[in-house]
Order: sequence, then C-alpha cells, then structure tokens
Amino acid sequence: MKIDAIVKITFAVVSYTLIGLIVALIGFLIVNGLDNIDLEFLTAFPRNSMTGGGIWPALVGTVYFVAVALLFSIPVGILAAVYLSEYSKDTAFKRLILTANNILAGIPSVVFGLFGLSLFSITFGFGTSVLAGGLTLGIMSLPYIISNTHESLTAVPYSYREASLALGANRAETSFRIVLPASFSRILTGVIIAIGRIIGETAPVLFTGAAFYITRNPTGPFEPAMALPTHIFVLSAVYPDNVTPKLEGSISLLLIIVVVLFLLVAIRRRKETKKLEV
Amino acid sequence: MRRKRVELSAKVLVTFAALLTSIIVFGIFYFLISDGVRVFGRVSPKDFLFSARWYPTYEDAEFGILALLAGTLSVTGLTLVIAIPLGFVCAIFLAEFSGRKSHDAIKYIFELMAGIPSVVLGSFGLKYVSRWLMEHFPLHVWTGLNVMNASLMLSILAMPYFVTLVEDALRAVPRDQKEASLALGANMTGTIFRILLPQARSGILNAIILGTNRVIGETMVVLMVAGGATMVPSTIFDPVRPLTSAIAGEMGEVELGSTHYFALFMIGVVLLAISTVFTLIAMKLKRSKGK
Repeated sequence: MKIDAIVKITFAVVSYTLIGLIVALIGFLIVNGLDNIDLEFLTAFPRNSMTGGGIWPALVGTVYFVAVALLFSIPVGILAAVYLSEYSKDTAFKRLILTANNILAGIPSVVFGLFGLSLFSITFGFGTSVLAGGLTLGIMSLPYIISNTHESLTAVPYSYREASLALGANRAETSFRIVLPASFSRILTGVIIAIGRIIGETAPVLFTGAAFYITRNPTGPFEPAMALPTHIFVLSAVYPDNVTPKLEGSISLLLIIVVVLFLLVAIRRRKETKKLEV
Repeated sequence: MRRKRVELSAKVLVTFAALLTSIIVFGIFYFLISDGVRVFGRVSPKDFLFSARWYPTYEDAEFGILALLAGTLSVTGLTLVIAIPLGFVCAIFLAEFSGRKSHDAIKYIFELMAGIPSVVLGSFGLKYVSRWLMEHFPLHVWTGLNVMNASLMLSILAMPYFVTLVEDALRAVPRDQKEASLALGANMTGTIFRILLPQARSGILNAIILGTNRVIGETMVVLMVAGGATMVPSTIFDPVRPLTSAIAGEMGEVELGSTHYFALFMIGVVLLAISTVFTLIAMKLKRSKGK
C-alpha cells in the first residue's frame, strides 16, 4: 500500500510543478510587457526603426487575416460537416473525405505557406496580400472547423431529425433548419478554438501575406499587411535589442488575446456540459 | 417543385464542400511536387537526400538535405525524450489520481499551453533560454541557440498533446479490468503499469505518433532558436538547421523559379510525405482499435 502513496505523491508533485512553471511562464510574459502597452502602443504606427510608436497596423492586419480565413473556412467547413453527419453513408467516398481531413490537420504550417505561395500568390496572381495570406490560414483552419462541427452535429439527439422528417420536412430542411441551429452554440465554440489556433500562426503568412513594415494600412485585399505574430518574429530575430520594450508589449498583448479566447472556450464548454447534465 | 430544387441544390452544395477538402489535399500535393521535382533537373535525387552539403547561395551551389534532416531528427528526438516521460506522468496523474475540480483546472492549463503561439516560445528561447544556457553550461555551450534550447521550447508545445491523448487512451480501458485487478489484491501502482498502460498501448502509440508529427512540422521555434547552422550535430548543444527552418528562413530571399526555390519546395514534399505517413499510421491504429 505504501508504494501507492509514494507514486501518487511523486506524480502529483511532477504534474503540479509543470503546471506551475507554465503558469509562471505565461504570467511572466504577460506582466513583463504590460508596462509597454498604452494607448499610443495600440493606435500608432511604428516609428524610428520600430523603437517608437506602436503596433496599430499589426493589429489591423491580424484582424484582416483572421477575417479572410474565417470567411473561407466557416462556410466550407460547416457545409462539409453537414455532409459528413447528415448526408453521407459509410461509403468509400466518406472515408476519403475523413482521411483527407486528417491529413490536412497534420500538415506542417510551413508547408501550407509553400502551397499558399504557389497557388494564391503566384498561380492566382494575388501576390503578397491579405487575400493570399488569409486564404492560406483559412485552409489551415478548415480541418479544425470540420472536425468540431461534425462532432457538434452528431451530438444533436436523433429524435430531432425523426420528428422533423415525420412532419414532412425533407433532409435539407431538417439539416439546415433543425440540426444546425440546435448545435449553433457548440459550433461557435469550435470557431473560437480555430481563431485561437490561427491568430498566432506565423509561418503560413510569412511569405504569402505579411509585410515587415508598412506606413499605411491596406485599403484592399490585394495589399500586404502586418500581423502581430510576424511582428513578434521580426522584432525578436531581425532588429537589435533597443526594440525590446515594443517586443515585450506585443508578446504580452498576443498572449492576453489567446488566454481570453481559451478562457471563453472553457466557460462555454462548462455551460454546455451543465446543460447536458440537467 | 421549388422545395425539390432546394433539396437537390443543398445536397450538391454539401457534397461539393466535402469534396473540396480532398481537392485541397490533392492540390497541396500537386503544387508542391510539381515545383519540387524541378530541383532534380540540377541535383540528382541521391545527392539531394544523402549529401550533407546544403550551400544554396554559393556560386557552386549544393543542395543536400542530410544535415537538415539530421537537425530535424536531433531536435525531435530530444524533444520526445523530454516530453514523453513528463507527459505520461501528467496523463496518469490526471486519469487516475486527480479529483474532478483539480482535473478540470489542470486540463485547462494544458489546453492553454498547447495554444501558446510558437513565435512567442521562439522569442522566449531567443531572449532568455539562450542566455540561461550560456551561463549554466559554459563548458559545453558555445552558442545559446542549439538543439537543447529548441527541444525545451518544443516540449512545451508537444507535452499537451501527449497528456491529452494518453489520458484519453487510459480512460478508454474498460473499468472492469481495473476493478478486477484491484479486487485480486493488486495495488494501484501495479494496476496502472501492468494492466492499464499495456491495455492502452495502441492509444498511447497513436499519441506518440501524432505528437511527433506536430514536433517535426513545428517551424517558428526551430527557426528562431535552433541556431541555423547546417551541420550534423555531435552534441545536444550544437546548433542545427531543421528542414522547416530552412524553408521559412530562406524562402523570403530566394529568387522565384531558381534551383534554390525548387529545392525548398522539395523539402516541403519531404515534410508533406512524413506527415501524411504519420497521419495514415495513426488512423490505421485507431481503426484497428475500434474493431
């Protein structure tokens, strides 16, 4: 019996130490940069080779990239998930789609970057732009949206579909008017997770859409934009140490955004499980 | 009539959306391979794979990826050595020893851990860990940017995958197996190591494969902290240049349509092949477990 106690305590100590280190790391990086975040930092363009001003264009650019990505991946992902959960039977075609989705989820982010460069930037002629970078991120987020939506749709009780079909609704009406609205909240949680995943992605936009430095915000989808993660990369790896305050501020801000998104997901999940238990 | 038309077009629409996923995967293969193979107009496949001389910008440019491959393998190997044991301990603690409240809190932290943007970890490794390594291992370390630094940062990204997937695998073992073992007088420790872990082995293997795939494909961390030297490392404190970092680091400066450009795409093909094989093995494992 004694060995059980020893193992339990050892495992607990290791786990809590690790958790403590991670919380300390995230906390340190957030607090460390907090002093450098003020109104000017959030609303001004960088000045004096990045040592002055703020990160306004990087924030705007990140919003643009994520928006384009979601405009692509939400409709396509939800429709594909509706097919998987409401229309498909266990056929070779369904297995092909599921396999493709798994392969897509495992592809390294830098490979998406190469694909985006070759297809969007060069073949389609979008160049280095918000559109090319956003679509690359959109393709990357597609498997997250599909898997999450698929799971949400399958969680809707089968009786909903039977009731709808029994009342004379056809499959399309059942899928889009009954099943999809019933799982709306869970699908939204999945979208937030996808945002959390792509908002910090650097490699896919590095050579498809990101500019290191611009003096005015993009006015259309065919212009490049700055992005918060690429800005962090550039400040860390390219510029000398005198940009450190701006770097620390940018890291702090990105981490705050990510922590808030994940907190939101945790809260929403909690509500959903509570609803199920009632 | 109108209802029928809507019904039909809905069916066409969702089928097409689903098909689009496969089209994208084929598209990725097509675009990478069609650009990548053109490197073999100048470099033989044998030299590309088995030469350790990667000098793409020299006048007499050479494109052998062996040293880059060694970089990827060394960083991935050391990451697994760090992250797998720690991940197992946390997963076993979560599955068997933790109460519900602490379980949920720990789980949230691990999810957050997986969500830390890799560029942030890269920056942390670059600014802090490299200095720490230089100060604490001055006899071994001649640069703070090396295999060790990259592996430490990658462990932070990889561990949550191991923890989540191994915990799921442990929980999937039927309850009565555990209860039977305990009822026969075995202690909890023996039950975990002799009954639960062996029973969960296909799920655990699955976790290791998916986690490894994630580590191999990680880009920003290795670009920023692995050191960038094209050499086959002899110690864990040597700088290396993994495959992903070569693409991300060099793509920005390369001339479109040059041999160097095609060589980087061919490296992309190698990474794509690795991740596809890993994914297919993981799917196969999962399916055979389901039977």
